[in-house]
Amino acid sequence: MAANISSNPGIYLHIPFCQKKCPYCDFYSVVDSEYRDHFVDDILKEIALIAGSVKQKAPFDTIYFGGGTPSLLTVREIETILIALYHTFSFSATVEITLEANPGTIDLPRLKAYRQTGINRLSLGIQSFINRELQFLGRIHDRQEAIQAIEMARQAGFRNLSLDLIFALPGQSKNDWLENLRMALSFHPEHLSAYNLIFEQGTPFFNRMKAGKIIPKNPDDEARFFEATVEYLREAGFLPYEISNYARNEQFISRHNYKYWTHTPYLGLGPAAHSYWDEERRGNVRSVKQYHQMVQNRRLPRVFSERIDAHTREFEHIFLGLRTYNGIDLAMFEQQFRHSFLNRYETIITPLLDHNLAEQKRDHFRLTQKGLFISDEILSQFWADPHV
Amino acid sequence: MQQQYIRNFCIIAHIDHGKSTLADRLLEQTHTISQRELKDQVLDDMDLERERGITIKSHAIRMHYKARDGHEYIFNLIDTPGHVDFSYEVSRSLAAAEGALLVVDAAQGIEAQTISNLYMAIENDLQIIPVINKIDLPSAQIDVVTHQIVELLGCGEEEILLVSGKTGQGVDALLEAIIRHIPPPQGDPDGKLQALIFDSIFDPYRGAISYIRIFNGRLNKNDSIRFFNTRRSFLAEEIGILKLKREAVNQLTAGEVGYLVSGAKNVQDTRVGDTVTHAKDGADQPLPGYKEVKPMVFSGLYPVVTEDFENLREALDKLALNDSALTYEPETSKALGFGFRVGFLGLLHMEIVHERLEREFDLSIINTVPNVVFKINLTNGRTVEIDNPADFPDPVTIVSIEEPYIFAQIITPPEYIGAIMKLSTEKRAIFKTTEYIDPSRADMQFFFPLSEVIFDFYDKLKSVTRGYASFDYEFDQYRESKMIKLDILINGEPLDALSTIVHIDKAYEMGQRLCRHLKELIPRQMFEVIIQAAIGTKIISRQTVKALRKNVTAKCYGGDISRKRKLLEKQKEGKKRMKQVGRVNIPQQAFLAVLSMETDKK
Ligand SMILES: Nc1nc2c(ncn2[C@@H]2O[C@H](COP(=O)(O)OP(=O)(O)O)[C@@H](O)[C@H]2O)c(=O)[nH]1
Ligand code: SF4
Repeated sequence: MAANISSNPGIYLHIPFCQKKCPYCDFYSVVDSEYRDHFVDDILKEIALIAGSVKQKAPFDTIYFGGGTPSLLTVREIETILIALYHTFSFSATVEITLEANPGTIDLPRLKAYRQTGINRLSLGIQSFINRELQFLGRIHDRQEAIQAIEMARQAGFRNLSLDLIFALPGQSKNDWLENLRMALSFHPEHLSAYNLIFEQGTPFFNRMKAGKIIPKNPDDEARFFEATVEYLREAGFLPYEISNYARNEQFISRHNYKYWTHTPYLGLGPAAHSYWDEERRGNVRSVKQYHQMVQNRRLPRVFSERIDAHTREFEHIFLGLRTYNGIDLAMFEQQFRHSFLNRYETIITPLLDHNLAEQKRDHFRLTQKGLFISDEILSQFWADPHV
Repeated sequence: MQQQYIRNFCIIAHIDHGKSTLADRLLEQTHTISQRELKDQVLDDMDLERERGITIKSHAIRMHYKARDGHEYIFNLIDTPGHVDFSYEVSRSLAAAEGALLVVDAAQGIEAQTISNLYMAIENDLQIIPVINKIDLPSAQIDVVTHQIVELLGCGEEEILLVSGKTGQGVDALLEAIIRHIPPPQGDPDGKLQALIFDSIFDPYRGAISYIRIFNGRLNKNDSIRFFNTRRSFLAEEIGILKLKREAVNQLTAGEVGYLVSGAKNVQDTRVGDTVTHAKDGADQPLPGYKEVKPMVFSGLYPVVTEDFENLREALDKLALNDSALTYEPETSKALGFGFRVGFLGLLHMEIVHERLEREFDLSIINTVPNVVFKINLTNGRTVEIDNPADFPDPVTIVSIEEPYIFAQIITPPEYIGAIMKLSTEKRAIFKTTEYIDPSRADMQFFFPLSEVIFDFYDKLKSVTRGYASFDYEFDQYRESKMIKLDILINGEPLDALSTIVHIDKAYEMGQRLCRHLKELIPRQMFEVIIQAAIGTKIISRQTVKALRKNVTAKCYGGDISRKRKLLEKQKEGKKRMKQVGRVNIPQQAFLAVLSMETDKK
């Protein structure tokens, strides 16, 4: 059974609309936007705008509808977008199409129809099965709707189902969290993402934290939740293949997300979407209004682009690779960067190996679970300021 | 220039008692400066000093005053530095004058520093004019302060002038009093040249510029001159008087105050207190009072980034051009690499140098624990002086150790006497006397080991007296003490830069507190960090900084990799201010942990 990892490029679509804004969320999305009705037309415009400049070396093999809340798009809208993509670019026969769905926005007929469009992977934003926690998070769904959403997804024929959960909520006990995991596993999902609640600047949660109204868990407690998660899911037979991602087996790794960690090119469409293409990192404008105006005026909605020089690329390669269970493929590294990873970074690596924070398995160097927990601390060391 | 129309004087005042404001009024009333030019306080001109509110370097300014007797007088106001670290420089400024205004804040009364400077002025035979300032304040206590001054000077109440630097009230009378009470200079204009250097500064274009007071004889432009103590000869390239700017003249004669540009490259050649005379046919004797300023406190200065060593050397070279009290020589530390052992007049001087290195030269500097110079008598009959704990000899070769003591004067409201006694005992002080200046102020005198004063004494004194006590000191003598070396080990390796020499009775507690405090200062890292305090091979304290358990953002970044990368870069950037010792990152401030221990909550 081959791992679901590929070096073909992928496409990401950012659907920046939500029914209600969750107070912890810093993804770009808006509520009740006057630009909602133009959105699909705008996306088609952007596709047309970039079509000429995208030289494909290989067919795309993933399409990922992320958000925001992509499940606010109608079946017709999804179809329209997919058709435009198929007409413009070339795709592999086994393209993996993921849709992120909010349990509060779906019903069975709609899910069935989504499935009909070719979407073959569904990622449900469950977050929690505990009503108290769902309320705290400001979600629009409750426990019952979460459970129904999963059941309906199966009924609609989704064989590759992923569930998102959030842990380390203030006041959450370890048992609460394990209960969430237990519930999730009872539906035998193919994939799980477990995210640590983060207080991001600019969110209502951040402000409430600053005002002392919410007290986040301390890092040591967070570490305990994290450890418990890995342990629990491992025991249930899951593969922790990235810091917050777990697959029932290698076949169910998120093919699209894995591209982010392996320097595989991807095109991002829609407001605030990011791309990695032609050795450049690019970002679209973070505003539906400006996005609309730019594409309508036949201008690329791009506001950020950065060429990745060899030095930065090497750092990215390391910090992205070391997030994953494969770590760094030493032979491939040497082939790409013309020097040995182990030699070049010996002073950083040796203490890591000594303290069991990293390990070398055959021709791979990777972080151990203990190392992954402090990976920001570790990975930042690999950044050598080129100006020194 | 007729000496009878010259008056040279200083102002003695505690910080914030209004010296600068009053000086401004004098300049204004003598039309030396217009209101518009009076950008607040003209006499302090170094940024750092301004922020700290102290005048570190003395300067002088000349005013012309048309007196009520119809004559025009020349006033030279000689500014004095205001901190105990610089008391020698104060004494030289005082020596350049015939009189001093003793300025006391009407609401605050007399402080220790005022008294010690006053005594210094009296020693220099200066005529004192007592002035109560800020009489416009509603909280002014003129009676109380008058009484204090009368007690202190034994003068008559009517001799005390009441002024307000703010409103200008009483300033006219003050100008007249200066003429009446301060004697004119008495030197011999036809004698052999003797000029006192009371200050020296470095100017990047002119080299060293000396501020001088001519006592005897005449100095002409282009005269060949000689400095007595440094024995170096130069040419009087430019001489002049000090107005708001320097104004060149062709001659300065006995009684006058002015400046001298001699081609000397730095202030090491033009030492404060030295005497200038003619190279040929000069005076036989220098003016009295010259002292070589000796640093009292030593500390290692190391660049955080090893590559900055040469930059640090250049920076110190530059600072030394302007600071003859700064001494430094290269040294190496096992933990920190190449750096310098630097001598300072005191802790304030150390802080100023540190700040200037970081601010003006953009260096990140590690300052190791400051210490004093110990004299160690060895079994082989020799005595060694050590200014670095790393040089502490093997204890079996030591017969006895002597440490420097200071004579300290603390002026305080009587209710704090108990607290001060307690603090002084903790600091191993020898009590001398307590005298009452008046019922509201006691003058307490002690002998303190200097090493105790440099560690957190000021702050403690301030806190136990709620800021009401003032403190002043001067070197007294060396006395025998039982000192030992306390080492700090990080993960089993001694970190030489953290070693200190402490009194045996305090070593144990100090070791414990230091470990506890270091534990707070050293951030959790990838591996456990063990901090130990040791005397010889005996471990007396141990603390552990637990390994970091979690530092990762388990979050979905989508495809925005740039953002994640920048966060990691920033994290690394944050480590730049730390010194990597072995595998441990140690923040700058940990090296001065001994000084900040008091903030450590037990
Ligand atoms: N009310 C009042 N305030 C004054 C007077 N002289 C100075 N001050 C204030 O006292 C503070 C300290 O004055 P300054 O001249 O800087 O003191 P220095 O540190 O002795 O030079 C400043 O805030 C001045 O404005 C005065 O005569 N009356
Ligand atoms: S539904 Fe998702 S994207 Fe929308 S606000 Fe909530 S967390 Fe953010």
